[in-house]
Amino acid sequence: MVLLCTALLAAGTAGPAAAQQQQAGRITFDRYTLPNGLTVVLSEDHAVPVVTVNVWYHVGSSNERLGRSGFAHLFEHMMFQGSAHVKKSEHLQLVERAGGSMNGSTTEDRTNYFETLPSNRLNLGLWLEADRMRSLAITPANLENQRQTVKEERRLGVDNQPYGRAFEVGPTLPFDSTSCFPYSHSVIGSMADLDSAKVEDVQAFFHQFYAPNNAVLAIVGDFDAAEARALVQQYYGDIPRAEAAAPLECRMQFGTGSRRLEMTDDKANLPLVALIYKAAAVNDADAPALELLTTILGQGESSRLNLRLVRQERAAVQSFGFGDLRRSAGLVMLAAIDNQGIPTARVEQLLNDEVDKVRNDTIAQAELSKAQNQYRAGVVRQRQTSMGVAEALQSALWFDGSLDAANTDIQRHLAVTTADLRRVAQRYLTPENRLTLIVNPPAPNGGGN
Amino acid sequence: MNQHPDAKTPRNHAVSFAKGSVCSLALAGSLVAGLLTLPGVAQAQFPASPPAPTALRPVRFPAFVTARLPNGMDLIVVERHKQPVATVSLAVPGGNIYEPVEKTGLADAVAELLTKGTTTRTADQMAAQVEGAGGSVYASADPDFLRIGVSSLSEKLPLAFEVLADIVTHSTFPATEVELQRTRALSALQIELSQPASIADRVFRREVYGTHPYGRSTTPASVRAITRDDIVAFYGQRVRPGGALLVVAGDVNAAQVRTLATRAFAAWRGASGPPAPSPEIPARAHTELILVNKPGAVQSNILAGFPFITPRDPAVYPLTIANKIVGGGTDARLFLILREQHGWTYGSYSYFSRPRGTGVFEANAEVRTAVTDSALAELLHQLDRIRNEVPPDSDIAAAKNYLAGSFPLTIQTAQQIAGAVANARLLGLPDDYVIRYRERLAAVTTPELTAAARAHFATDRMVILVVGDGPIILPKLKPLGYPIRIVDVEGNPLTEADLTPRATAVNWAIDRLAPMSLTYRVLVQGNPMGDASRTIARTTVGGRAVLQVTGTTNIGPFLRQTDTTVIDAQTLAPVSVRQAMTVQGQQAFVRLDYDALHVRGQARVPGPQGPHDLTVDTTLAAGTFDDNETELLLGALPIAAGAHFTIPVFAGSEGHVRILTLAVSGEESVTVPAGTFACWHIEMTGGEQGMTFFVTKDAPYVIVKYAMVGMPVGFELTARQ
Repeated sequence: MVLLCTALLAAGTAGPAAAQQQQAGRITFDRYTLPNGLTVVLSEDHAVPVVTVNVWYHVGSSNERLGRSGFAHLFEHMMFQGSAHVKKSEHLQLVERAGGSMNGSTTEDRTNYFETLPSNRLNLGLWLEADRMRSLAITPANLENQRQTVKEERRLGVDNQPYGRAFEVGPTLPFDSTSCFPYSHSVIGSMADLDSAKVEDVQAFFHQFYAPNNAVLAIVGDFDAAEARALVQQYYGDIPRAEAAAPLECRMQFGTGSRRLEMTDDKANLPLVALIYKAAAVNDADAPALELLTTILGQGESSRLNLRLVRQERAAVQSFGFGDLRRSAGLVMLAAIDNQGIPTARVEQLLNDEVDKVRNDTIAQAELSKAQNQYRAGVVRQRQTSMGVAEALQSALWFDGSLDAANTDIQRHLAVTTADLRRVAQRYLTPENRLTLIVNPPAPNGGGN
Repeated sequence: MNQHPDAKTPRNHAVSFAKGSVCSLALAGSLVAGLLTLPGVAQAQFPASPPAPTALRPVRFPAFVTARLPNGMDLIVVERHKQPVATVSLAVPGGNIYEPVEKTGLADAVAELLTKGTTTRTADQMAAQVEGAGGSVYASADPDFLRIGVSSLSEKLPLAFEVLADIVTHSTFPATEVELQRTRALSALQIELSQPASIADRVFRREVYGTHPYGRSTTPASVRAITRDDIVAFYGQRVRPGGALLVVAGDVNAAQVRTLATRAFAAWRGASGPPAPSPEIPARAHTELILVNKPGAVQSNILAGFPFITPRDPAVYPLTIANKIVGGGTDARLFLILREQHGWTYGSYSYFSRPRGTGVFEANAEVRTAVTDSALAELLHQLDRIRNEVPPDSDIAAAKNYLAGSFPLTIQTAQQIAGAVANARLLGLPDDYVIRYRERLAAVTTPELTAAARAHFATDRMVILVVGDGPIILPKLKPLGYPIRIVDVEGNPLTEADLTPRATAVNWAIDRLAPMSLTYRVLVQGNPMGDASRTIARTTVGGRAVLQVTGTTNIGPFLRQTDTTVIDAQTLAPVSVRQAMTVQGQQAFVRLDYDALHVRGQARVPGPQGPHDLTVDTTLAAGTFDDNETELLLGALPIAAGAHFTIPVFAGSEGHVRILTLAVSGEESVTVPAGTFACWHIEMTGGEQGMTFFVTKDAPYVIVKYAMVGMPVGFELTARQ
C-alpha cells in the first residue's frame, strides 16, 4: 500500500513546477520542533495584515477509553473556561475586541483551536493558546458547567434536529467495538459517561494529550519569522512534555455481510435512507479514488444521486454522498430523504441502482475530470485565507504524514483513472460491506424505538 | 461551534456535514460569570496579562482596474494570483424596489430562476458544466440590485463568461421551474412569519419607511400573484447592460478579461429601465411605540431605530465609530450593560443598514418577557447617551482600533476584495472609498463624532417595536410614557380590548358535574399512540365540599403526565393543583395552592433549553380559574348555538393569567370508540395551544373528542363509567 502510494506521488510530481502551481497554489512553509516536542509550522504571506494562530492537538474521540466517551469534546469546551491568566469567557472577548475571530472543534482524530487576528495581535493569539496549554483551569465547577453545556449542545444539535441521531450513530455503525474501538462511539459520546466523569479523569486526560509533544502550532499570514520564533520560545518553551500516548488499534473487518437497521426519529417528517459502506483510511492508496467516486455520486447539483433521485425521478427531496476517511479507517455514506408519498423501498432501490452502475459500468473520463476539478477548486478556495492555509498544513502533517503533502496531495487525485474508480467501487461498495439505515418519522404501524 | 467555513478541506467538509464537528462556546457565555480559583503556576518570563498590541501595519488596498465596455456596462478587475480560481459577477439595477407592490418578491423569483435554464442549456446541463469547471452559479436579489455570479478554476474563465452571458441574454424560465420556485418561496415565507425576529424586521421596516419600497415585505398573496409573464417582463426590462457592473476577481489578467467580456457580452444591449418610484420617507413628529401582539410568546423582541443616512453622507465615518461604541459588538455599551451587567438578554446590538438610498439605524435585544420594560428603558437610555454625551477618549480610541484592525480580515480573498470595491461603486461612492477607508476613520475628531451623533441619532422621533405577549407586556410598557399602537403579527391594527377579551359572566350548570370516570385513546397522525383518563369525584377538604379531578395522559415515549386538581364544588373556584410530567425526558411539575384570590406555588417547566423553575406568588382577579380546570368547565358551560365565552384562567406553568375564548362553531354527530354522540363543536383560543373540543349536547355533558389545532394530536373517548 505505502509503496504504491509513493509511486503515484513520484509520477505526479515529475511535471514542471509551473504546472503544479497552476493546479493548486503552492504553500511555502518552515518547520521546527522545540526541545519539549512542540512542532511549529510557519507560513508567511504578507498580502494583508492578518495572521492565524492554529493549534492541533492530536487527540480526538478515537483516543477515548471504554466508559469515557465524549471526553475529547468535553475537553474542547473546558479549553474555553479559563486558565491561569485568562478568566472564564475572557478568551472570546479578548479575541473579539482585538477585531479577530476564533473557534475550536473536535473530530474523531484531532481537536483544533484557532484565532485569526489583525497581524499586530499575533502576540495575543500565541499568548492565549500558550496560557491554556500550560495552565488550564480544571475545576469541579467548570467541569459541571461544561457537562451541562455539552448536554445542551446535544439536545439542540442532535436530539432536536431531524436525523440528528442518525447522523450521530450512523457513522459509528461500520466499526466493531472489538476490532476498532476508536471509531465505534460518536464524538459527542454518551451522556452517562460524561456524568460519571470526575475532575481527576479530566486532569489525567489533559496531562496526557494536551502536552506540547502532542500538539502542532501553525502560524500563517503576515508576521516576522524571527519575532514569532522568539514569542513561541518565550510562551511555550518551558511547558513540560508528557509521555507519548499508545497508538490506536483499528483493524477494519471488510466483507462481513450486509446489515440493515431501522430507527424512528420523532423530529423527522420524511423517511431517510442511508447506505453506509466500510472504506479505506485517508492515507490509503485507494483514498483519492474513493473521494472522487463519492464526489461523482453525491456532491453538487450535477451529481448522479441528485440528477437521478431528485431531478429525474422526483423520488427524493435531497440526496448526498461523501467519504468520511479517517486516520485509521473510513466509510462512505450515500443517502437520500424520501419525497412525500414515495415508498422507502423505491428510494433504497434507486440508491442501490446507482451504486450498481458505478460497480458495473466504467465512468466516463469527462465525469472523472469534473470531479477532479471540483476537488481541486475546493482545495484552492480553502487556501485563499490564512486560516485555510493553516488547516491545509495541519491536515497534511497529521493525515498524510508530511507537510509536503499539502503541495502534492492534489497530484494523487489528478492521477486517478476511470479504471481506479471502478476498482474501488467493486472493492468497497459491495453488499457485504454495506449497512442500510432507514430513519422513519414517528407514526404509522406504531412508531416507537 | 462549527468549524470555520474556511477550514473545510473537501475531506473535512464531508466530515462536518456528516455530523458537524461538535464544538464549544455557543452557550459558554450564558453561564454564570465569575472568577476562577486559579491554580498557582509559577512561570518565568510568561506574561501574566495579555501582551499589548504592537503597531498596526499599514494596509495597501489591493490594486484594481476599472473600464467601461462598449455595451455600456462597467468593469472592475481585481488580480490576485495566489490561487488559480476566479469569479465573474454581475450586478444590475433590478432589485426589489423595481417590483410592483402587489408582486413583492418578483426580483427574488427572477434571481432564483436565472440559474434554471437557457435556450441552449437546461438547468442540469448548466450545473454539470460549471461544476466541471470547479465552480458554481449563484444569483440573488437585494432591495436595489440583482446579482448573478459564476465561479470557476481560473483556467476555465472563458466558460464562466460564456455561461454568465447566456444567462443574461437567453434565460427561458421553464413553467415547471416557476411552479417549484413559488412553492419554495411560500414555504420559506411561512417559516419567516413564525419567527419573532422576522416579524419584528418586517413591521419595523414598514413603520420606518412608510410607502417607500424599502418598507415592503413579501406576503403569501404577493408571491401567488407573480406569474411567469411577470418574470419574463422583469427580466427583459431589468437585466440589461445599462447601469450594470461586471466584477472579475482572482487569478486573471485584466487585459484578457476585457477581451473576454467584450466578446461575451457583445450581443447584450439596452439601457437600464425606468427608475423606481421613490416616495418620501415619512417624517415623525415624536417617538411611537408599536406593540406587535404575539400571544403566548415567551420572550420579547425589541427594536428601536430611525431613518439614518445615505451611504454617500460623509457622516458615515463618525457614525460608524458611534455605532461601534453604542452597540457594535460584545464590548459595546448595549452588550456590556444589558447582557453582562443585568443578564436580561443573550445579546443586544446596534447596526445601520446601507442600501443605495437612505438606510436605517436600529438597536435590538431579545429579552425575557418579565424584563421587557427594564431592558427597553435601558436600551433607549444608551441611545440617548450616545446622542448627548461626549464619549471618553478611551472608548473612541478602542472603537477606532477595532475598526482599523478588523478591516483587513474582510479583504483576504479575491472575492472579498472585489465585493468591497463593487459595493462602493454600486452605492455611488468614489473608487478611493475602500482605499482610504481606514485613514478617514482614524482622522475623525471628537467634535465631529459628537456633532454627527447629535444630528443623526433621532432619539426623539423613533420607532420602538416590541414583539411579544401583548396582554402581559402592555401594562409594563405603558409607564414608559410613549404613545402606544398595537398591531397583530401581520401589522393589522388592534385595540387594547382585542388584546384582553373581557371575561363573560357565566351561569355555570354546576349540577351537570357528576362523579364519573372517562378514558380516552390518543391519536398521533391518526394512529393510536397513547391513552388518557379523567376521574371526577366528590369529596371534602377541610370541611369544604370539593370536586377532585384526577387525570393521566401518556403519549408514546414523549409524554407521561398525572394531575390532581381540586375545585370548590359550589363556585368552581380552584383549590389546589398537583401535576407531574415527563416530557421528552424532561421532568416537570406544577404545584399550586389557592387561598381566596391568592395563588402560591412552584413550577418546573420543560423547554427547548431544558427545564426552568418558576415561583408563583400572586393575587388574581375574582372569577379566575386554573387552566387545569378547562376540560371540567366545558361540562358545566351553558352551551348554545353561536355562544361565545371568555374565561380568565391562571396558567401555573407560565405564571400569569390567560384569557381563554370558547366559541361554539356548530353541531356535529361524532363517532368515537365509546359510541356516536350529538355534539357541540367548540374552538378554544387564547391558551398556549389552540384546541378543538366536541362536547355532548345532552347528559352526560362530556368531551368525547378533542384535538390540538395545527398539531396531529387528538383524543377520543373510549369508555365512560
